[in-house]
Amino acid sequence: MNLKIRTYCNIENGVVTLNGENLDGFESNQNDLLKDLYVHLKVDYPKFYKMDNLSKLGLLGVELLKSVSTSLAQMGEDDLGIVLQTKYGCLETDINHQARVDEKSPSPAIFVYTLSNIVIGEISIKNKWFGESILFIEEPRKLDNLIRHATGLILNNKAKTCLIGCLDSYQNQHSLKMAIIETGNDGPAFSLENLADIFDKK
Amino acid sequence: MVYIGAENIISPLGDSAEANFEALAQYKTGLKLVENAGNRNEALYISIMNDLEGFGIVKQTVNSIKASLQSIEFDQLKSERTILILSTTKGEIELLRNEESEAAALGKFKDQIVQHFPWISETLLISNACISGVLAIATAHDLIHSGQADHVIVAGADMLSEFTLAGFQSFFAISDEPCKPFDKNRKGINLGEGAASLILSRSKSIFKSQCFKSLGGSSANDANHISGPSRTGEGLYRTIKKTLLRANIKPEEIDFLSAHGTGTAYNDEMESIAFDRIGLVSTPLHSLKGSLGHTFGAAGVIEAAICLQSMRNNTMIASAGFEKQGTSRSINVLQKTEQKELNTILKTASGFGGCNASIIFQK
Repeated sequence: MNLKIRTYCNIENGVVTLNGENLDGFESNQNDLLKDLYVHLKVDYPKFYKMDNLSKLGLLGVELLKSVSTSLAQMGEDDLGIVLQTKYGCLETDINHQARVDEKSPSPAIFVYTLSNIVIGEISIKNKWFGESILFIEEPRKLDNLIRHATGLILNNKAKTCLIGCLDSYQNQHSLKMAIIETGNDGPAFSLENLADIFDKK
Repeated sequence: MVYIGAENIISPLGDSAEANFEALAQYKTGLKLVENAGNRNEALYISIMNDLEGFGIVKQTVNSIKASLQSIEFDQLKSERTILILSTTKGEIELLRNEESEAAALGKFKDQIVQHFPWISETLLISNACISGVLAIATAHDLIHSGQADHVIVAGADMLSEFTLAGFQSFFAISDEPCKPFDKNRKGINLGEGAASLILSRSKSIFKSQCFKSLGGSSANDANHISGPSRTGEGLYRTIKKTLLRANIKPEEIDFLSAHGTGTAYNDEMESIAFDRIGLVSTPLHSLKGSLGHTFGAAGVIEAAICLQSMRNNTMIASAGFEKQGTSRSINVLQKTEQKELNTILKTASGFGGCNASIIFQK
């Protein structure tokens, strides 16, 4: 099977790149990176402001990919498999929730984000994607995990296309690597070497 | 073919799958009223291992895995192509209270488990809310089916914590009495804790006693709401449909359905709608939450282990707390533990983030 990396994006140290190129005309004070990117991409999705940073980051990664990927914009409801991994998961929200618990005033609006897979839920809701999805707690360097599971989903006919990514939002550091994997002839082969290469491009 | 067996459960009802199965068959419950359990010191029904010493989630997870390993030919399993998959929502979350925030990260929980099994070359941790356990088993199946692993150990665990209790209290989702999944008078969930493990393999011969076939599973998202179940049971309907299709099984071939059944009004209603849409309304089903509470990342593995025990014993466990039909679609919730030849069982789960998963086991 000819699996290719079709579209990819990176967010690292406040720099946003799409298919290896700096995002046109985007500048941000790093502290407001997520909000600035939301405005830049003209997302218009008020629920965004209620989300925790991990969900905001994941949702924006998908919006970045959609801005150049026609296949993602026209994806069939059950056709996309989502495989994400995160090192810290929702730890930032966990800390916020624990502080509220200690004050005897827990908030359901915070508590609901104390599950690391909520980012997949937010992406699925925004895009009306009903397909397979899975979230691993994993170091970002373990790209072989993404390759194994995305390849498995496509080989086992569980998904036609896969959205893969590593993301973390912790202590105001946002880091995201995301890519679309499809069968076809265009784009670099979906190999560990190529994936490491595109995700390391600044 | 993918085989499954060697199940273990550690819960307030015992430290083996057999002990848990027998206790459940005799209508015993892990739920008890514990004083000062809530965030504002309310007494709450919870399924708790030991209220003085705490659960010791790392130790219990390790114990559960070791118990499962006792049931297999270890020399055959010990291989570079053996993977361990952990399933948990919050791991050792109580460490957050001591302001050791990074120690409470799930990766640290994984590191601690891994230390006990240096011969395992790869360990994955799946954290997908309440479907974690079922998704871990489905993923284990796929890894073996696609030739990426020979054997997979799946272990699920979650502990009771003020963190989770207070969170669900803030949602007003906790019942003030033992929970009543699918019942007319259900009021919400009870929380529980536990650990469970089982083993999947491409080789039948590694199992010391009877093993079963895993026919694989799938997942689907509601694409609707992060904390409210879909009104059409969309994701649950879609995952069951996919799982049946992939396994080439018709709804009427399912002898028994191990449902998720949390005991909240909306979740149980959603499940009844999905089961109706698939054609599973007459299939006998239960939820174990009325006996063991909701154990989150452990739940799917505990309930799957009970499915295997049910096939071993040809016995369906009653759905504790159920008295009167309480969903818009009439479903066949078991009020009594019954004997029945069980060949094919469907296990489902649904969770926050709109996620749903299902898997089929066969004798």
